[in-house]
Amino acid sequence: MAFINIRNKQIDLKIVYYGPGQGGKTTNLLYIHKNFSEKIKSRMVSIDTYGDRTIFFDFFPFDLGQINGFDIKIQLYTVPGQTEYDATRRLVLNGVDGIVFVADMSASMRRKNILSLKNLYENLEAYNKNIFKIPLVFQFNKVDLAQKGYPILPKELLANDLDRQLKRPWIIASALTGKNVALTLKKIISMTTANIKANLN
Amino acid sequence: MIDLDFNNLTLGVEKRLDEIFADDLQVHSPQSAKLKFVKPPSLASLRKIIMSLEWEVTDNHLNDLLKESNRLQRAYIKDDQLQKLFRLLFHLGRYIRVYKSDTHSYVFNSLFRTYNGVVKITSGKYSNHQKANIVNDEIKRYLSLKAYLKTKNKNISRRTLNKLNTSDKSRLSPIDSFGKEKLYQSKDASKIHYRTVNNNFMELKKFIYLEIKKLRQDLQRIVALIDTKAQYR
Repeated sequence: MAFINIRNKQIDLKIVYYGPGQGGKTTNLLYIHKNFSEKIKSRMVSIDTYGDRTIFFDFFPFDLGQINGFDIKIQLYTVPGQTEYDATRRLVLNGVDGIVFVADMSASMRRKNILSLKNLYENLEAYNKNIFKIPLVFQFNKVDLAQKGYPILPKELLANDLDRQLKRPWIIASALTGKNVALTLKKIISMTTANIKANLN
Repeated sequence: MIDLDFNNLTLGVEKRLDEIFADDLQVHSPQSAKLKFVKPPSLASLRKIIMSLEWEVTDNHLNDLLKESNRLQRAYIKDDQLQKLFRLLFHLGRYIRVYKSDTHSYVFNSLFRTYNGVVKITSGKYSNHQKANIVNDEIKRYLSLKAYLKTKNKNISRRTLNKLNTSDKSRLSPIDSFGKEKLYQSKDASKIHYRTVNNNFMELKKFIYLEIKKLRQDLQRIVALIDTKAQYR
């Protein structure tokens, strides 16, 4: 549940980028940091990385400024995707308001995408949260691989694998080139804000 | 009571995000995003499919039904009641497609009744409370049908599964268990499962082992460095 401080007129939203290992979660945040850090006056904190792998998590807070008299603060987190860091993933999910599931479009990653989504479902259950109720956006990442000649999974297949029951919006993206990275973030923030209203009602 | 104007807040947030990401959103004009914001379509095509099914049940009609109910679920994402009915239509259609001639006639009745439910809800003649009652009745009927078929299908399920082609098998395999798990686990969702605790313990053990291994390697490197320095002296 979002943190709403009426006295200070502040709303904190926590958004977590979830997905299989090396799927591009940190790359998403790095793109936003590189291109928009001046506009949103923020800096990214990477806690414990080992080579190109996130061991603990990345944290990227930023401020949307005053909207309707309220100060909206967004906290973006990533989790380590590797299967062995499940405890860390669960920890990062505590108090989450919205989730971006970064699925890898590489042909070899089909099974890992499904397992990661199941893992998300289980970890949310640990906090009594229902994956069907939490704001969630799918990002099908690494679409640029097709241009380089690598085989990728068709978007319909990915949607069928991951989104058949959840029926959430999915966006095809390339975190490396920045394609639709901002759109994904915009979508999840909008959905999360709308969800606060539903929760309070 | 919180006196937040959330409609304006949501609009304000979207406006601010447009300002921040303006350049980027223009560069990467999103095709998939356009698809997401289409107007809810009419139910004319669903009506055609249901009428075709009343006349003759073919694989093509059933595939159309699955596609259409899936599309309508997306289109009516904000209408919880209609979504439930479309989901029921999808599951009933899938059941018929898998079991083909072994399908019980009750399933067809249930399919047509569910469609009638959709027609009633979209007619605008019913209040929200009545609409909720219609949906609840359909769900109850569906669940009792499911329970009834479970006992009936024990004999025919093996025969039918042998008949399935590969694509149908993949539809029944791992991903389908996702929803079922939810039903089974939701009873004691407040408890953290024993398996989860055990997994965490194993994970922690593995982590400690790896850390100690790394420390050992570092120590060995330091000792080797000291040895080489000592040799040069």
